[in-house]
Amino acid sequence: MINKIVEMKLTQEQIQEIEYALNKRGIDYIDLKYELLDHIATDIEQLMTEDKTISFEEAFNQAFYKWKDALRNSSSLLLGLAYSRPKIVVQACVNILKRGSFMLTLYGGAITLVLYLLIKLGLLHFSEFFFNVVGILQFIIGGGLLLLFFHIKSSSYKTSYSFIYNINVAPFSIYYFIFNYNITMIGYPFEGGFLSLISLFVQVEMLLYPLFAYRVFKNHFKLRERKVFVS
Amino acid sequence: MGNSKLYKGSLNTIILKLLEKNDKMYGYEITQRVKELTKGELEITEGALYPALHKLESEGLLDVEVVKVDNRMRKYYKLTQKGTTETANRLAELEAFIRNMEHLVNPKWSID
Repeated sequence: MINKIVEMKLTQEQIQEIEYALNKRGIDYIDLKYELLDHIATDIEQLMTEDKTISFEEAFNQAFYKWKDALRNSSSLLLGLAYSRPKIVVQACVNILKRGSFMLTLYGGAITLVLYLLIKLGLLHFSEFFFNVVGILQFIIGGGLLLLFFHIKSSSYKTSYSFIYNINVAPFSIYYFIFNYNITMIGYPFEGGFLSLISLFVQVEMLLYPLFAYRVFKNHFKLRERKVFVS
Repeated sequence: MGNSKLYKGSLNTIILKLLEKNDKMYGYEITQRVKELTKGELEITEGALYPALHKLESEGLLDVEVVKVDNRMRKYYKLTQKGTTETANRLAELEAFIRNMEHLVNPKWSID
């Protein structure tokens, strides 16, 4: 085990110096920060154990140099090109979003197709009252998502999940007021008397999206519990 | 990494295999173990390891345990039940790939 080989141990001040450097480079999301901090600290300890003449500063620079590509600022189309963050943060967030988008498209697409076929075959009819109820439901969802946003904002730490909530979920919650039958009627699937597959898909996605948003919210707070869990 | 393009596609399988043999491991430990097993031939870069670990975690193949070690948090990864099954599948795929490559690179000619 590596632990047995490592003799040199960093002091609390040296650990804080690494943490400060990570914060300065934009790695202030606790799920990534503590993992990188441990990796870099272990690497520095290893370098100082193998070469007793090397100073902490030299080992620190060598260890950080290995991360230069992962810490370089980057952006992604999926997150929005306006958001530039260290590559490792972008990769982690893209990974979460990609998985969420895939599931939403898969289930949303399947439900939309079934509904579309049932409506076209005349087996399913939606009354105006039904869309009024959907409108109220979307109003509640939009408000709920905004409430969760303020809850996340008030937490004392950042995670890649809170970043996703800020840049994806929070702006999306506004759509529940724009594409709302009771407010604007934009995106109403039967606009002009014809059933629009795209509008139907958007409405289904909007009803499924809170499942993803709540998962993001829950994972943000789960990480705090994980942080507290120490042996 | 020796030839990064050749190894890149196998990184996830390498991680899964290591975790199958060792109950739980942390990121730095994985990089060192790979270096040690390949006698320094293969070095997993930090920028490739963590995205791979996070992806495997989000797929439900890895579980995480955080423990306080030497004044800091250490994140250990271990296989889930799903991860154990998936490791066997991916190893079988990798072995088949190696066999096929061997046949292609070093074909045994014979007159039947």
